[in-house]
Amino acid sequence: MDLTVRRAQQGDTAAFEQLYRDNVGRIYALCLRLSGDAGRAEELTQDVFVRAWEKLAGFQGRSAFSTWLHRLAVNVVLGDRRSESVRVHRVFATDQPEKYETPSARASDPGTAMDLERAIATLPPGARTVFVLHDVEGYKHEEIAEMQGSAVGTSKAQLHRARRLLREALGR
Amino acid sequence: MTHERILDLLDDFVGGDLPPRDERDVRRHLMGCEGCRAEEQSLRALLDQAAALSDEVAPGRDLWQAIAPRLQPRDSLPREAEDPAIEVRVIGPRPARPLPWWMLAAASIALVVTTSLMTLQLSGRGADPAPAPAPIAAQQAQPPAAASGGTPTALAAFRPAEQDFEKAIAELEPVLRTQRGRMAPQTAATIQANLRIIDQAIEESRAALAADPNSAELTRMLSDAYHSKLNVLRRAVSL
Ligand SMILES: [Zn+2]
Repeated sequence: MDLTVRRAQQGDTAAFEQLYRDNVGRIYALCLRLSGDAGRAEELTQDVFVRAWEKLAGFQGRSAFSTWLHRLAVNVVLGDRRSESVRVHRVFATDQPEKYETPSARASDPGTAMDLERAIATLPPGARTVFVLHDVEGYKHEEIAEMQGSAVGTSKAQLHRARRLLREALGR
Repeated sequence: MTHERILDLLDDFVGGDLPPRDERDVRRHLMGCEGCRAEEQSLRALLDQAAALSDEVAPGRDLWQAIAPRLQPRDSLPREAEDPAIEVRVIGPRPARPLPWWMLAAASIALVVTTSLMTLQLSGRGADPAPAPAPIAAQQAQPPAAASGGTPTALAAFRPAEQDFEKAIAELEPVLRTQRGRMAPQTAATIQANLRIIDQAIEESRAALAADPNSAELTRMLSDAYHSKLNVLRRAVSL
Protein backbone atom coordinates (compact mmCIF):
# COMPACT_ATOMS: atom_id res chain seq x y z
CA MET A 1 0.00 0.00 0.00
CA ASP A 2 1.05 3.54 -0.70
CA LEU A 3 3.15 4.98 2.11
CA THR A 4 1.17 8.21 2.26
CA VAL A 5 -2.06 6.24 2.67
CA ARG A 6 -0.51 4.17 5.45
CA ARG A 7 0.72 7.23 7.30
CA ALA A 8 -2.74 8.79 7.01
CA GLN A 9 -4.27 5.58 8.35
CA GLN A 10 -2.04 5.90 11.37
CA GLY A 11 -3.37 9.38 12.06
CA ASP A 12 -0.94 11.61 10.20
CA THR A 13 -3.01 14.60 9.06
CA ALA A 14 -0.16 15.99 6.96
CA ALA A 15 -0.19 12.77 4.95
CA PHE A 16 -3.96 13.03 4.64
CA GLU A 17 -3.65 16.59 3.43
CA GLN A 18 -1.38 15.28 0.68
CA LEU A 19 -4.07 12.76 -0.28
CA TYR A 20 -6.57 15.61 -0.30
CA ARG A 21 -4.37 17.72 -2.61
CA ASP A 22 -3.83 14.78 -4.97
CA ASN A 23 -7.52 13.92 -5.24
CA VAL A 24 -9.59 17.03 -4.60
CA GLY A 25 -9.92 18.02 -8.27
CA ARG A 26 -11.42 14.71 -9.24
CA ILE A 27 -13.72 14.49 -6.24
CA TYR A 28 -14.91 18.07 -6.62
CA ALA A 29 -15.62 17.52 -10.33
CA LEU A 30 -17.73 14.50 -9.44
CA CYS A 31 -19.64 16.33 -6.70
CA LEU A 32 -20.16 19.34 -8.94
CA ARG A 33 -21.62 17.33 -11.79
CA LEU A 34 -23.77 15.15 -9.57
CA SER A 35 -25.19 18.04 -7.56
CA GLY A 36 -25.32 20.64 -10.32
CA ASP A 37 -24.45 23.32 -7.81
CA ALA A 38 -21.01 24.75 -6.96
CA GLY A 39 -21.78 25.65 -3.35
CA ARG A 40 -23.32 22.28 -2.64
CA ALA A 41 -20.39 20.59 -4.35
CA GLU A 42 -17.96 22.32 -1.97
CA GLU A 43 -19.91 21.06 1.03
CA LEU A 44 -20.13 17.56 -0.39
CA THR A 45 -16.41 17.51 -1.15
CA GLN A 46 -15.66 18.41 2.46
CA ASP A 47 -18.00 15.69 3.67
CA VAL A 48 -16.31 13.15 1.39
CA PHE A 49 -12.86 13.84 2.82
CA VAL A 50 -14.08 13.89 6.42
CA ARG A 51 -15.82 10.57 5.79
CA ALA A 52 -12.71 9.20 4.13
CA TRP A 53 -10.66 10.11 7.18
CA GLU A 54 -13.13 8.31 9.42
CA LYS A 55 -13.24 5.21 7.24
CA LEU A 56 -9.60 5.09 6.26
CA ALA A 57 -8.71 2.54 8.93
CA GLY A 58 -10.99 0.06 7.19
CA PHE A 59 -9.30 0.56 3.82
CA GLN A 60 -7.26 -2.53 3.08
CA GLY A 61 -5.62 -1.50 -0.14
CA ARG A 62 -7.31 -4.08 -2.32
CA SER A 63 -8.22 -1.34 -4.75
CA ALA A 64 -6.31 1.85 -5.47
CA PHE A 65 -6.92 4.56 -2.90
CA SER A 66 -8.27 6.87 -5.61
CA THR A 67 -10.79 4.19 -6.67
CA TRP A 68 -11.88 3.64 -3.09
CA LEU A 69 -12.23 7.37 -2.53
CA HIS A 70 -14.21 7.84 -5.73
CA ARG A 71 -16.68 5.16 -4.77
CA LEU A 72 -17.01 6.62 -1.31
CA ALA A 73 -17.73 10.01 -2.87
CA VAL A 74 -20.51 8.56 -5.02
CA ASN A 75 -22.01 6.99 -1.90
CA VAL A 76 -21.81 10.25 0.01
CA VAL A 77 -23.49 12.22 -2.76
CA LEU A 78 -26.19 9.65 -3.45
CA GLY A 79 -26.75 9.14 0.25
CA ASP A 80 -27.16 12.83 0.77
CA ARG A 81 -30.42 13.82 -0.77
CA ARG A 82 -30.42 17.31 0.57
CA SER A 83 -29.41 18.75 -2.76
CA GLU A 84 -32.21 16.89 -4.43
CA SER A 85 -34.71 17.95 -1.80
CA VAL A 86 -33.82 21.54 -2.43
CA ARG A 87 -34.27 20.93 -6.13
CA VAL A 88 -37.59 19.24 -5.61
CA HIS A 89 -38.59 22.24 -3.62
CA ARG A 90 -37.42 24.57 -6.35
CA VAL A 91 -39.55 22.73 -8.83
CA PHE A 92 -42.53 23.15 -6.57
CA ALA A 93 -41.75 26.74 -5.84
CA THR A 94 -41.79 27.85 -9.43
CA ASP A 95 -44.91 28.58 -11.39
CA GLN A 96 -43.28 27.05 -14.42
CA PRO A 97 -41.93 23.64 -13.46
CA GLU A 98 -41.66 22.76 -17.14
CA LYS A 99 -38.80 25.23 -17.38
CA TYR A 100 -36.86 23.07 -15.02
CA GLU A 101 -37.91 19.80 -16.54
CA THR A 102 -36.92 20.62 -20.08
CA PRO A 103 -33.68 22.49 -20.57
CA SER A 104 -34.65 22.63 -24.24
CA ALA A 105 -37.27 25.24 -23.45
CA ARG A 106 -34.51 27.65 -22.60
CA ALA A 107 -31.85 26.35 -24.89
CA SER A 108 -34.00 26.68 -27.95
CA ASP A 109 -34.09 30.42 -27.42
CA PRO A 110 -31.84 31.93 -30.03
CA GLY A 111 -28.39 32.84 -28.83
CA THR A 112 -28.43 30.79 -25.62
CA ALA A 113 -26.23 27.87 -26.55
CA MET A 114 -25.34 26.11 -23.33
CA ASP A 115 -22.20 24.18 -22.92
CA LEU A 116 -22.39 20.61 -21.74
CA GLU A 117 -21.50 21.33 -18.11
CA ARG A 118 -24.29 23.85 -17.77
CA ALA A 119 -26.71 21.60 -19.59
CA ILE A 120 -25.91 18.74 -17.22
CA ALA A 121 -26.62 20.99 -14.26
CA THR A 122 -30.12 21.71 -15.53
CA LEU A 123 -31.10 18.05 -15.91
CA PRO A 124 -33.67 16.60 -13.54
CA PRO A 125 -31.71 15.01 -10.65
CA GLY A 126 -32.39 11.39 -11.50
CA ALA A 127 -31.40 11.78 -15.14
CA ARG A 128 -28.36 13.86 -14.19
CA THR A 129 -27.10 11.25 -11.72
CA VAL A 130 -27.27 8.44 -14.23
CA PHE A 131 -25.75 10.48 -17.06
CA VAL A 132 -22.80 11.58 -14.91
CA LEU A 133 -22.16 8.12 -13.50
CA HIS A 134 -22.59 6.29 -16.82
CA ASP A 135 -21.41 8.60 -19.56
CA VAL A 136 -18.90 10.72 -17.68
CA GLU A 137 -17.60 8.39 -14.97
CA GLY A 138 -17.98 5.11 -16.82
CA TYR A 139 -20.04 3.10 -14.32
CA LYS A 140 -22.22 0.31 -15.72
CA HIS A 141 -26.00 0.28 -15.41
CA GLU A 142 -25.81 -2.69 -13.04
CA GLU A 143 -23.51 -0.77 -10.70
CA ILE A 144 -25.58 2.40 -10.87
CA ALA A 145 -28.78 0.50 -10.20
CA GLU A 146 -27.19 -1.15 -7.21
CA MET A 147 -25.80 2.08 -5.79
CA GLN A 148 -29.20 3.72 -6.09
CA GLY A 149 -31.21 0.70 -5.02
CA SER A 150 -33.15 0.89 -8.28
CA ALA A 151 -33.67 -1.38 -11.27
CA VAL A 152 -31.37 -1.60 -14.27
CA GLY A 153 -34.31 -0.67 -16.48
CA THR A 154 -34.79 2.52 -14.48
CA SER A 155 -31.17 3.45 -14.92
CA LYS A 156 -31.39 2.85 -18.67
CA ALA A 157 -34.56 4.87 -18.97
CA GLN A 158 -33.01 7.75 -17.03
CA LEU A 159 -29.94 7.67 -19.25
CA HIS A 160 -32.08 7.72 -22.39
CA ARG A 161 -33.97 10.69 -21.03
CA ALA A 162 -30.81 12.53 -20.01
CA ARG A 163 -29.20 12.05 -23.41
CA ARG A 164 -32.30 13.26 -25.19
CA LEU A 165 -32.62 16.35 -22.99
CA LEU A 166 -28.94 17.15 -23.37
CA ARG A 167 -29.01 16.87 -27.14
CA GLU A 168 -32.02 19.15 -27.22
CA ALA A 169 -30.35 21.59 -24.87
CA LEU A 170 -27.22 21.61 -26.96
CA GLY A 171 -29.26 22.16 -30.09
CA ARG A 172 -28.61 18.97 -31.94
CA MET B 1 -36.83 -3.24 -37.88
CA THR B 2 -38.81 -0.03 -37.58
CA HIS B 3 -37.14 3.35 -37.06
CA GLU B 4 -38.62 3.47 -33.54
CA ARG B 5 -37.13 0.13 -32.69
CA ILE B 6 -33.74 1.21 -34.01
CA LEU B 7 -33.85 4.42 -32.00
CA ASP B 8 -34.69 2.41 -28.89
CA LEU B 9 -31.66 0.24 -29.46
CA LEU B 10 -29.28 3.09 -30.22
CA ASP B 11 -28.28 3.64 -26.58
CA ASP B 12 -27.09 0.08 -26.27
CA PHE B 13 -25.70 0.11 -29.80
CA VAL B 14 -23.33 3.00 -29.23
CA GLY B 15 -22.33 1.45 -25.91
CA GLY B 16 -21.46 -1.83 -27.65
CA ASP B 17 -23.96 -3.63 -25.43
CA LEU B 18 -26.19 -5.24 -28.06
CA PRO B 19 -26.22 -8.96 -28.76
CA PRO B 20 -24.50 -9.67 -32.12
CA ARG B 21 -27.71 -10.27 -33.98
CA ASP B 22 -29.35 -6.99 -32.94
CA GLU B 23 -26.10 -5.20 -33.50
CA ARG B 24 -25.96 -6.44 -37.08
CA ASP B 25 -29.59 -5.46 -37.72
CA VAL B 26 -29.03 -1.97 -36.40
CA ARG B 27 -25.88 -1.56 -38.42
CA ARG B 28 -27.69 -2.59 -41.59
CA HIS B 29 -30.56 -0.26 -40.93
CA LEU B 30 -28.22 2.64 -40.30
CA MET B 31 -26.48 2.09 -43.61
CA GLY B 32 -29.74 2.60 -45.43
CA CYS B 33 -31.47 5.20 -43.23
CA GLU B 34 -30.26 8.75 -43.14
CA GLY B 35 -32.59 9.82 -40.33
CA CYS B 36 -31.48 7.15 -37.89
CA ARG B 37 -27.87 7.69 -38.90
CA ALA B 38 -28.17 11.36 -38.00
CA GLU B 39 -29.51 10.32 -34.59
CA GLU B 40 -26.63 7.96 -34.11
CA GLN B 41 -24.09 10.62 -35.00
CA SER B 42 -25.72 13.14 -32.69
CA LEU B 43 -25.60 10.61 -29.88
CA ARG B 44 -21.97 9.78 -30.50
CA ALA B 45 -21.07 13.45 -30.60
CA LEU B 46 -22.66 13.90 -27.17
CA LEU B 47 -20.79 10.91 -25.77
CA ASP B 48 -17.51 12.18 -27.19
CA GLN B 49 -18.15 15.50 -25.55
CA ALA B 50 -18.98 13.83 -22.23
CA ALA B 51 -15.84 11.73 -22.40
CA ALA B 52 -13.81 14.85 -23.10
CA LEU B 53 -14.98 16.64 -19.95
CA SER B 54 -12.11 17.40 -17.65
CA ASP B 55 -11.44 14.75 -15.02
CA GLU B 56 -10.61 17.43 -12.54
CA VAL B 57 -12.22 20.71 -11.57
CA ALA B 58 -10.60 22.93 -8.97
CA PRO B 59 -13.00 24.18 -6.29
CA GLY B 60 -13.34 27.94 -6.02
CA ARG B 61 -11.52 28.01 -2.69
CA ASP B 62 -9.18 25.87 -0.63
CA LEU B 63 -11.51 23.42 1.09
CA TRP B 64 -8.76 21.96 3.28
CA GLN B 65 -9.16 24.89 5.65
CA ALA B 66 -12.68 23.70 6.39
CA ILE B 67 -11.80 20.01 6.40
CA ALA B 68 -8.82 19.99 8.77
CA PRO B 69 -10.72 21.14 11.88
CA ARG B 70 -13.30 18.39 11.31
CA LEU B 71 -10.75 15.56 11.46
CA GLN B 72 -10.88 13.85 14.83
CA PRO B 73 -7.72 12.27 16.23
CA ARG B 74 -7.37 8.78 14.85
CA ASP B 75 -7.53 6.98 18.23
CA SER B 76 -10.80 8.71 19.16
CA LEU B 77 -12.54 7.27 16.10
CA PRO B 78 -14.49 4.03 16.43
CA ARG B 79 -12.49 1.18 15.03
CA GLU B 80 -14.36 -0.16 12.02
CA ALA B 81 -14.93 -3.87 12.35
CA GLU B 82 -15.37 -4.33 8.66
CA ASP B 83 -14.66 -2.54 5.46
CA PRO B 84 -17.08 0.08 4.31
CA ALA B 85 -19.46 -1.29 1.71
CA ILE B 86 -17.65 0.69 -0.93
CA GLU B 87 -14.56 -1.44 -0.69
CA VAL B 88 -16.56 -4.63 -0.60
CA ARG B 89 -18.30 -3.38 -3.69
CA VAL B 90 -15.11 -2.64 -5.54
CA ILE B 91 -13.56 -6.05 -5.12
CA GLY B 92 -16.13 -8.54 -4.01
CA PRO B 93 -19.71 -9.72 -3.87
CA ARG B 94 -22.56 -7.28 -3.62
CA PRO B 95 -23.98 -6.29 -0.27
CA ALA B 96 -27.00 -8.42 0.51
CA ARG B 97 -29.56 -5.66 0.44
CA PRO B 98 -28.92 -2.34 -1.24
CA LEU B 99 -30.81 0.57 0.24
CA PRO B 100 -34.08 0.97 -1.66
CA TRP B 101 -34.56 4.33 -3.30
CA TRP B 102 -37.65 5.16 -1.33
CA MET B 103 -35.69 5.03 1.91
CA LEU B 104 -33.56 7.82 0.59
CA ALA B 105 -36.64 9.59 -0.64
CA ALA B 106 -38.40 9.23 2.67
CA ALA B 107 -35.35 10.52 4.47
CA SER B 108 -35.57 13.69 2.45
CA ILE B 109 -39.27 14.24 2.96
CA ALA B 110 -38.92 16.14 6.18
CA LEU B 111 -36.55 18.55 4.55
CA VAL B 112 -38.72 19.10 1.50
CA VAL B 113 -41.59 19.83 3.79
CA THR B 114 -39.57 22.07 6.03
CA THR B 115 -38.05 24.14 3.26
CA SER B 116 -41.41 24.51 1.57
CA LEU B 117 -43.15 25.63 4.71
CA MET B 118 -40.30 27.94 5.59
CA THR B 119 -40.78 29.58 2.25
CA LEU B 120 -44.46 29.95 2.87
CA GLN B 121 -43.76 31.63 6.17
CA LEU B 122 -41.13 33.90 4.69
CA SER B 123 -43.61 34.98 2.10
CA GLY B 124 -45.80 36.26 4.89
CA ARG B 125 -48.46 33.61 4.86
CA GLY B 126 -47.16 31.74 7.86
CA ALA B 127 -48.88 31.32 11.17
CA ASP B 128 -47.73 29.96 14.50
CA PRO B 129 -46.01 26.61 14.33
CA ALA B 130 -48.27 23.64 14.72
CA PRO B 131 -48.50 21.94 18.10
CA ALA B 132 -46.09 19.12 18.68
CA PRO B 133 -47.28 15.91 17.10
CA ALA B 134 -48.51 13.03 19.19
CA PRO B 135 -45.95 10.61 20.57
CA ILE B 136 -45.38 7.56 18.46
CA ALA B 137 -46.58 4.33 19.92
CA ALA B 138 -44.15 2.39 17.79
CA GLN B 139 -41.39 3.60 20.04
CA GLN B 140 -43.04 2.44 23.22
CA ALA B 141 -41.37 -0.35 25.09
CA GLN B 142 -44.41 -2.55 25.34
CA PRO B 143 -46.05 -3.42 22.05
CA PRO B 144 -49.61 -4.73 22.09
CA ALA B 145 -50.44 -8.33 21.40
CA ALA B 146 -49.24 -9.76 18.17
CA ALA B 147 -51.43 -11.04 15.39
CA SER B 148 -50.37 -14.65 15.71
CA GLY B 149 -49.97 -14.87 19.45
CA GLY B 150 -46.22 -15.36 19.08
CA THR B 151 -43.60 -12.64 19.20
CA PRO B 152 -45.25 -9.36 18.29
CA THR B 153 -43.99 -7.95 15.02
CA ALA B 154 -42.88 -4.38 14.64
CA LEU B 155 -45.75 -3.96 12.22
CA ALA B 156 -48.31 -5.21 14.76
CA ALA B 157 -46.79 -2.99 17.42
CA PHE B 158 -47.08 0.00 15.14
CA ARG B 159 -50.73 -0.63 14.25
CA PRO B 160 -52.32 1.39 17.12
CA ALA B 161 -50.08 4.34 16.33
CA GLU B 162 -51.00 4.04 12.70
CA GLN B 163 -54.67 4.20 13.63
CA ASP B 164 -54.02 7.38 15.60
CA PHE B 165 -52.25 8.86 12.61
CA GLU B 166 -55.04 7.86 10.27
CA LYS B 167 -57.66 9.37 12.56
CA ALA B 168 -55.81 12.66 12.85
CA ILE B 169 -55.26 12.77 9.11
CA ALA B 170 -58.91 12.01 8.41
CA GLU B 171 -59.90 14.99 10.57
CA LEU B 172 -57.52 17.40 8.88
CA GLU B 173 -58.01 16.50 5.24
CA PRO B 174 -61.56 17.89 4.91
CA VAL B 175 -60.44 21.09 6.62
CA LEU B 176 -57.65 21.48 4.11
CA ARG B 177 -60.05 20.87 1.23
CA THR B 178 -62.32 23.69 2.32
CA GLN B 179 -59.38 26.03 2.79
CA ARG B 180 -57.63 25.26 -0.46
CA GLY B 181 -59.89 27.58 -2.41
CA ARG B 182 -58.58 30.68 -0.70
CA MET B 183 -54.92 29.75 -0.81
CA ALA B 184 -52.55 31.15 -3.37
CA PRO B 185 -52.39 28.64 -6.22
CA GLN B 186 -48.66 28.20 -5.70
CA THR B 187 -49.11 27.48 -2.01
CA ALA B 188 -51.83 24.93 -2.69
CA ALA B 189 -49.67 23.30 -5.34
CA THR B 190 -46.68 23.09 -3.00
CA ILE B 191 -48.77 21.44 -0.33
CA GLN B 192 -50.27 19.01 -2.81
CA ALA B 193 -46.86 18.11 -4.18
CA ASN B 194 -45.50 17.46 -0.70
CA LEU B 195 -48.48 15.34 0.26
CA ARG B 196 -48.07 13.32 -2.90
CA ILE B 197 -44.46 12.50 -2.12
CA ILE B 198 -45.34 11.60 1.43
CA ASP B 199 -48.26 9.41 0.40
CA GLN B 200 -45.97 7.55 -1.92
CA ALA B 201 -43.47 7.03 0.87
CA ILE B 202 -46.22 5.80 3.18
CA GLU B 203 -47.48 3.40 0.57
CA GLU B 204 -44.09 2.00 -0.27
CA SER B 205 -42.76 1.75 3.25
CA ARG B 206 -45.99 0.04 4.23
CA ALA B 207 -45.62 -2.48 1.42
CA ALA B 208 -42.02 -3.13 2.41
CA LEU B 209 -43.03 -3.53 6.03
CA ALA B 210 -45.71 -6.03 5.07
CA ALA B 211 -42.97 -8.09 3.45
CA ASP B 212 -40.59 -7.64 6.35
CA PRO B 213 -42.88 -7.06 9.35
CA ASN B 214 -40.11 -7.19 11.95
CA SER B 215 -37.99 -4.41 10.57
CA ALA B 216 -37.59 -1.64 13.12
CA GLU B 217 -35.98 0.50 10.45
CA LEU B 218 -38.99 0.18 8.15
CA THR B 219 -41.33 0.92 11.02
CA ARG B 220 -39.39 4.06 11.74
CA MET B 221 -39.57 5.08 8.07
CA LEU B 222 -43.31 4.54 8.02
CA SER B 223 -43.74 6.43 11.25
CA ASP B 224 -41.64 9.31 9.94
CA ALA B 225 -43.72 9.46 6.79
CA TYR B 226 -46.98 9.62 8.76
CA HIS B 227 -45.43 12.20 10.98
CA SER B 228 -44.48 14.31 7.99
CA LYS B 229 -47.95 14.06 6.56
CA LEU B 230 -49.56 15.11 9.79
CA ASN B 231 -47.19 18.03 10.09
CA VAL B 232 -47.89 19.22 6.58
CA LEU B 233 -51.62 19.00 7.15
CA ARG B 234 -51.51 20.77 10.49
CA ARG B 235 -49.40 23.58 9.22
CA ALA B 236 -51.37 23.86 6.00
CA VAL B 237 -54.68 24.29 7.79
CA SER B 238 -53.16 26.87 10.11
CA LEU B 239 -52.00 29.04 7.18
ZN1 LIG C 1 -34.39 4.63 -39.63
